[in-house]
Amino acid sequence: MRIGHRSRLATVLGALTLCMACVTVNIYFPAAKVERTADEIVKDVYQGVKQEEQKPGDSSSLQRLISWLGPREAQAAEATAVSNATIRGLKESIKARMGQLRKYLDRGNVGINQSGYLEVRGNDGLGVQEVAEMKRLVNADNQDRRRLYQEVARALNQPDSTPKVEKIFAQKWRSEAPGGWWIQADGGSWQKK
Amino acid sequence: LAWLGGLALAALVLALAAAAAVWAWPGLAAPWLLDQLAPEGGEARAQSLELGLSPPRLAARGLVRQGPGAGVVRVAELEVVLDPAAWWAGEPWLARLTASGLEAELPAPEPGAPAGPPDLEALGVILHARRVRVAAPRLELPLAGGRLVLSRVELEVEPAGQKRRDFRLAAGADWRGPLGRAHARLTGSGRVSAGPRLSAELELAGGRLPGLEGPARGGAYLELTPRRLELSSLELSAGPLELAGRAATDLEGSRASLELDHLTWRGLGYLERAGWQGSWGQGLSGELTAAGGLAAGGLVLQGAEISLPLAGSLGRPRVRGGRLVVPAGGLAWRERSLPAGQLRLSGDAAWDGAGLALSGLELRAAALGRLSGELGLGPGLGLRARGEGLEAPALLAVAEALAGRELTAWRLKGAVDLEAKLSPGRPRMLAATLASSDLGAESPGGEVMLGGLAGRLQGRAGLAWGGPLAAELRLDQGQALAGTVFLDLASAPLSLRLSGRSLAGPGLAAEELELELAGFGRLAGRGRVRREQGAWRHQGELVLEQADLGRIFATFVREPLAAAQPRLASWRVQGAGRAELAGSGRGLAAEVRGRVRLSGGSLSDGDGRLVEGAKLELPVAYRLGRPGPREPARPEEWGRLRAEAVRAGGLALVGLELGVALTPNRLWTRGSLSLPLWGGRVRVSGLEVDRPLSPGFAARGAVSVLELDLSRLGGPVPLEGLLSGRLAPVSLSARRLRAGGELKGRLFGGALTVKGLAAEYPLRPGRELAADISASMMQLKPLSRALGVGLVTGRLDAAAENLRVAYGQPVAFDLAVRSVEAEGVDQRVSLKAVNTISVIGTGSGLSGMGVGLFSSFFSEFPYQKIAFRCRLRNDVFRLRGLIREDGVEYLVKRPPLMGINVINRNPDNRISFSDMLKRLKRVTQPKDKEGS
Repeated sequence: MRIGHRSRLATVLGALTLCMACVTVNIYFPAAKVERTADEIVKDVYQGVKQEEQKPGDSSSLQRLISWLGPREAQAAEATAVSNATIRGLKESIKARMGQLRKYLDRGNVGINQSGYLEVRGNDGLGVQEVAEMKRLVNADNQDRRRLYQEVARALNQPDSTPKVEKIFAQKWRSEAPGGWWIQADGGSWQKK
Repeated sequence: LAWLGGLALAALVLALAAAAAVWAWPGLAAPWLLDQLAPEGGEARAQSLELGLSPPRLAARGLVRQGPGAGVVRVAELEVVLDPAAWWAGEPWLARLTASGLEAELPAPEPGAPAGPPDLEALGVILHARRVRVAAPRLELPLAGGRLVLSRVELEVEPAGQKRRDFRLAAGADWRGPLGRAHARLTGSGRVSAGPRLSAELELAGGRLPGLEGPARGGAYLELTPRRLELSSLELSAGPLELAGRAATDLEGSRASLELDHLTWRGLGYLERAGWQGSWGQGLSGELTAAGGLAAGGLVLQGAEISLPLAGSLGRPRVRGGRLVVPAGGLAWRERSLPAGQLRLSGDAAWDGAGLALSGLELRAAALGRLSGELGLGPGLGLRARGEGLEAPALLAVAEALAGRELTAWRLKGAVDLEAKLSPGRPRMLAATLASSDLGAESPGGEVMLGGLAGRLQGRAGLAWGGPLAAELRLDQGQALAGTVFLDLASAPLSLRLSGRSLAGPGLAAEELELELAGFGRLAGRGRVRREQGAWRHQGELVLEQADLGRIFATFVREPLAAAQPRLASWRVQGAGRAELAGSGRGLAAEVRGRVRLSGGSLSDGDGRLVEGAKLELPVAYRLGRPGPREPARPEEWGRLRAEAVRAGGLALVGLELGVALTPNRLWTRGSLSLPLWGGRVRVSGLEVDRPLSPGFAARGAVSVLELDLSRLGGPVPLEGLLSGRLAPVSLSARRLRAGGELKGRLFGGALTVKGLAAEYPLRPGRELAADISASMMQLKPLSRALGVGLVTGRLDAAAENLRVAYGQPVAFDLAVRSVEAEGVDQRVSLKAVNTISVIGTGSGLSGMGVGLFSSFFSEFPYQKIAFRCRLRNDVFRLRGLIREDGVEYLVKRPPLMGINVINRNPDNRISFSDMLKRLKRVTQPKDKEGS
């Protein structure tokens, strides 16, 4: 009888141990939310560039009507995306710098690498002073981008997820980039978009 | 007629008498013979001379013939036997010629004496001899500017038919002349025939040729006539030299030719074919053409076409307008092709008997450009080379191919002019000048870039350890970029001057070093660096003078960082610096001692001066690569930092003075900074900075705050209160700021506590500040006035936890607000305030008839409690009332009798940041004038 009791106890403890060993803690990473955030930020940053590319007469009347009737992206995003003062400030900083960086991106001196950062691809056609400006802008921009990804992850209360955020942004920076810019594919090769 | 006939008869009788006398006593003719043998102005004598008439025979012993210009000829024994009958029959009449112990020493011709072809008619005498046997121990005669000594000469001639004689010759030959010494054993056999024509097989063995290590041997088939000499089947092997070919010339040297089937000089080069037709008698002429190459010391030159128009003389040949063409890819160094493209070398050459002088050299390399120069080879080796517009990338490629490794991963562009001179002497001196008007370079990855460089580098070096060294560099045009630091050399020309000597090891002893970057400062010094046991050992002294802090700051700080720190763009620094440093060490480990002085320092931004009259006197005792800082103890280890005034962020300090010391990787301060701020004071003490000169610096210290007047804080809300306390430890790095401790004070009559002060990226524009702030028992009346949201009276507890602010806006916070009942304190709220709370909390203001009725009779209402919580995350505010009664959530709860409730009916009351901004705008722009 005593032996049987001990046996049952051991069985229960063993089962508990087994159950505990099988427990997997899943931390949910809101990829969709980050994608939405990346979409909003990237489009906003590229907005100025694309507006110049797409002249007013380029869109149809129907498109303009739908655009006017439809929800504004900025408003819609606020409820679903990640945002705070730091993220907004960093976005504005990147956006403001894009005007200066654009000529280097257009010429192909700067491209967007597979990690979503700007990368100097070459100095062709540039004087040393222009290269200096280009590097300073690229360095400053990458600093802001790096911090932006950290801040998004932090705002999600998942600071360790910065690499995941970076990956999503990397995809968005490249997919939304204007035509003619140089993009690094995931395999590492560079292609002109 | 009778008289004449008598005279002839008498003569005949006399002749017959003389002949009879000689017949009877042949010795009577000896004086006559010796007289005939004697050269002009000289003599001939013999120890004994015998003449015989049957057969006619001459035998002499100790015969000597000498005279001016004729040298000396000695014959120990000579026998000549004639055969008059053979002469009469037209056959060889010299029956035997035997000479032994023949020695001759013939002088060189007089300078200016007409040189003509040798007279070989005497060779025909052999055809009249039946047997000749000559043994000569030593014959010395002039040849080709030197002396030829033939020793142990043995010559035998035997008949081989009508008008043909075979001969055998053996001799040791030793020639000494301008080229050195040549010697060999020469043997030959051949035939002399009518003409006369001499043909012979010659063989050379067991000898040496000048300048060639190793035995010499060879052979040739020789044909010689009084007009022409031909050497065919010519083969020669002498040490590294091997050749085969043929040569021919007339004896006057007016028509000559040389053909070489091959010539190989091991360790130097080869010719696959070579030919020359010209003359040498009245001076060299004609053109030597050849195809071949060089293979010397790792340098390989293949497929070269050579054309050398010859001039001068055989002794001193010259080349005028020689050409050498090497096809692209034909030049290699240690089996590595040199990418110089096709090479075309032209120029003149002259051999002066002692050395070779190459002048007017012009080398055109398709990939490099044009190089010209002069070269002297011989005892006084010298070189002078000039190159104009030499392509720098090609030069580097050639240099790397020569070195067999990548000299630098830098990319070069542009062209340089080069001038180099190698002077003879001990030690040999190499002087070179490199100039460019547009030179560029880029480091791997583009970290460093140089463009449009214009300047000149002059160097002079003795090519031996201990030899003098001097270099001078001047760059007055161009641009340089290192990382993000940009320098325009047009506005800041660079000059460098170095003089010293090389050291064995290798190493360098710089007796004088001056480096000046115009407008930035000047560095002067001296020192030694030497490679010892696999590492560089160094010691020296440096003085930095006239350092312009303004340009240094602008170039190295402001301009590189302004893109990331826009505020820096308006910063200006002034001041001068001086440093005197002495150090020594090995590798990266070094000890540096000295003193750094800064004076007249100031820092200003667009709004005015931030720092004025700054001075720094800093002793330096720094050990690079040595960890373990310690606080300096000796007074001489401490310096002073002074500034007349410091202003920053509301701080204003007059008369700053602080002890400072620098130890490895740490800056220490002694004393404290006490700065007046907002009516109070801020005191910074115990400041230490790790890695002070690195972006990864880390500072520590403590900050004491004494009675800061919060009303002077500024901002949208005028505050009332004081703040004091001590924050310690405070740590600061580029990444974050953390402050332990807390500040306490008063705020609107309540108790204020600020703690958990921190910042992320504190030095960047987007720095994020964090704090936990709580205030208890604040007086609501002055607070509501300050906020301008309508009048509220009473007491209030408020706590803002996890407050984070960036770019002037809140990032996150958890705010809890609760009114606190206090005895004797009235709790009332104005209609506007209720409306404000309603608008902010629910998005809509007070409305309806009831409100209108109330507002027409009352402007204020009592309240029982105000309590709500506001949380900001992700740009979304969540506002909830903290008063819950009967399932209703109140933000403002009225007393039982009268008042206004503000109720939140939305359990998920989320307000976006933009909506909140709109709501705040609505309540801060009131339509009425209430609010006082």
